[in-house]
Amino acid sequence: MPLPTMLIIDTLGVEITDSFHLADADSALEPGAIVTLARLTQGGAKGGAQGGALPRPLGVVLEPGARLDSLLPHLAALDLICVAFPKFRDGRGFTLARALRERHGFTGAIRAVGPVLPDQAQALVACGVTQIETSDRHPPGQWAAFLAQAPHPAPAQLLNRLLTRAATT
Amino acid sequence: MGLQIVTGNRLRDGQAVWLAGDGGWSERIGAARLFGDAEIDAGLALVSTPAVALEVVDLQAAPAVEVAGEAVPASHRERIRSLGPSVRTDLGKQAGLDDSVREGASEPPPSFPQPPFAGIYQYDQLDRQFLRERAEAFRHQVARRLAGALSEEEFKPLRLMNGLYLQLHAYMLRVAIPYGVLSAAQLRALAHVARVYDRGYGHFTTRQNIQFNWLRLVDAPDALAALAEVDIHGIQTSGNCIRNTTTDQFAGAAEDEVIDPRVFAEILRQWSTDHPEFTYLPRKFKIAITGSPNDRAAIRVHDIGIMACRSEAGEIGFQIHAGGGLGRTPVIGTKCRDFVPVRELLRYVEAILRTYNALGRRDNIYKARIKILVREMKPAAFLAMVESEYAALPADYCVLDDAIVDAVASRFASAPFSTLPAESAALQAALGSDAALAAYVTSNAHPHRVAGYISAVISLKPPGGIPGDASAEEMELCADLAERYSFGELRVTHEQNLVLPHVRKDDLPALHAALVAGGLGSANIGQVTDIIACPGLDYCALANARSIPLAQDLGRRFADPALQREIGPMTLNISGCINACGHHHVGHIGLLGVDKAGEEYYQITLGGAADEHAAIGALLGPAVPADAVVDTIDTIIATYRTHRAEGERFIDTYRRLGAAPFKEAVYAAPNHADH
Repeated sequence: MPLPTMLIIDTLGVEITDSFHLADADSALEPGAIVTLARLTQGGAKGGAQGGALPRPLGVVLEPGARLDSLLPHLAALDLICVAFPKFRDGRGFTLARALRERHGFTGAIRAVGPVLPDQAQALVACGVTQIETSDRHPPGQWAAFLAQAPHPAPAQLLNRLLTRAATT
Repeated sequence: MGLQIVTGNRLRDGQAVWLAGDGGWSERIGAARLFGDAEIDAGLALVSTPAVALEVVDLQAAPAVEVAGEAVPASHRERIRSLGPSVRTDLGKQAGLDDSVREGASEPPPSFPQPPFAGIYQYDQLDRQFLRERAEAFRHQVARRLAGALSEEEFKPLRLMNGLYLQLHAYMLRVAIPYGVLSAAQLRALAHVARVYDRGYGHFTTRQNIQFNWLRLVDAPDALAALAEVDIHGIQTSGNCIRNTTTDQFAGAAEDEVIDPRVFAEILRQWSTDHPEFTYLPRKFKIAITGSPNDRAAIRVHDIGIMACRSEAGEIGFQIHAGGGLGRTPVIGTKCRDFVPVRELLRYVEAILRTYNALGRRDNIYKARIKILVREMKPAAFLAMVESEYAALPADYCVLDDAIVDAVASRFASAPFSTLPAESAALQAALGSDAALAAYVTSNAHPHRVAGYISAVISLKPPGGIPGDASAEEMELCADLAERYSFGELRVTHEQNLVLPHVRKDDLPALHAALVAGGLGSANIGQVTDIIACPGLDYCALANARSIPLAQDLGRRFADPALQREIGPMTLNISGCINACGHHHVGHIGLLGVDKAGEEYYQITLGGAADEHAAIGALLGPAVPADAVVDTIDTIIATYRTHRAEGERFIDTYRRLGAAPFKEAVYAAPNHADH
């Protein structure tokens, strides 16, 4: 079932064109498809025009609590990972995003999806998120003020000024 | 048939209000509209509207009865909400104070210059700018909430992140005293906040915080802005984040230290403040650090406990414990590492946090603390995950090299101590003629690392007083004394007392006289009336029972100084509910308030300890009614005095004999067991 269209913004709060779509479970994959982790790992992501090759670009949705082990073999085939936040208070997505960037070296786009708040914008970006799916309740205009200083806010406290590497770069 | 009323707290000031017959909200419970049990759901539906959400929060039904056409509360909790704290009849609705006026709130805060040698972390302009911006960010969030751009569900975690709770009578602002270190200027600013934005007093907590009980939401940003000017804040005093790191109240002054834990507590504070990854954890997360092998920071009952130590080669590092905690599931922490070098401290702690954030339970808040994760995974599997995360950290990430530690350490001014003889002739002479002074020095003084100095504890537990409460005037007196006798520096203890850390022994007679004159001279530290107590049902929205009146009654019963000295060292802790803010599990005697069919009862535990011999107290038997608790404690103490061997403290006798003689004495006595 297609979700309502949500506006996607980048780390400066600027609206971007979404070149991805949620894949229909029963159809062959087109370029720009976003699949579930199950479909990706069960080989069901195949089924592009050539009947086997994975389409590109390709995205996947990562639910909170997902074990990364099954995703890791497919990282090179992915252009977008959507990290799901079921509630804005559920912070697992921050750790997932950071682990993808820092521990597993993922260089594609990471998109926060779910009811996240503009007040969380800088933390999302600091953890490696590059795109945010906004909602009607908190449209792009509300995010701009929080992202204007991001992605590299001036390190305020002494420790952050001194640490050569305090967060994901 | 039961009757119910609809109640909530007003968004802008937190005042308890009730849905009235005319559809408006009344500050008086008598005016509340009464609903039959069958109608109450419809009553709640009536107020579940967007318009009400902008005016009243925390909507709920409460039982009531009708007397002469008016609603009267039928529960203890609602009665206290409708009146005010039973222990402060001068406050709340019962006192009829006009809450629309807060004198001085519109004026700019006075300036409180920092004393140059107080052992606080000295802010620079960037540090200070961070706090100012944070206060402004909160002002913006409050404005968005009042305008409806943030829902209450969205706003609540954001206000909690700034220390603002909603309690029974109003908002409560919890301000961190970072690792318990406070300057005289900061204490004056706290007194100012108490006077202008609150009701003239504050409550020092069991986690080196101070709480103000009568804040209005609309004033909170101003109060935080005023505190930012003296470098203190409410950040991370609440919410599911890394809470403010606590430590030994004698840090940097005690003679038994391996390192000064203030430096590392400050590093942990800066590392955890607004940590992008760890601000929305499954549950709150508390870190404690001690620089001494004599654990005065209760590190084994914290989510992470850190103890400074030396390796066999003499290198300084830390022993790390994780998964300890109190609350409804008390657990002594698991030792993770015997030795983590200084440069790896943040990295190792981060690996623990990352494991917890990824795997901690989020389906049940009572099972969301790290102690449950460790238990459910089994410690070995948990530690393997932590080690795996730790090994995978980039080699250059968050390395705490010497230059960083030195830079942070250099921000702590060292006090210009005088060269003095170890013993003070003036003090010795005074001790001979002043028994009260001698008692004070015996119980309230702690050895200092510098010859001729001593740390002096100021008891906030006068007989019959409210543990941890201090009036604005008392705060100012303590600030004066700190300036006169302790380089402008104070400490706040997790036992809810204050400390003047660097007092010349020569000055102790004068200090003691000033404390006695100010009503702060109680010589009871570590004794039975040095009671640790949470605010309980007089203030707290979570409590089942009123801890404070019980603490007051116990304080009066054992008030005789000679009796207290005869009883000897003893910790007595009271929590008003299972959340255990009074740390009852680790009191030699612990009291836990429970609600039995609307009546206050207390469970008694014996044998708890928070120090390096940490232990969770064992339940003695059935709960006793509140009015029998004081006699029961008397019986327990009498039993100890009967059975103790030469030189034994209460806890020693208990460990030697076990619970049996105490159980027999308490439950054989007809007055207590029959209830």
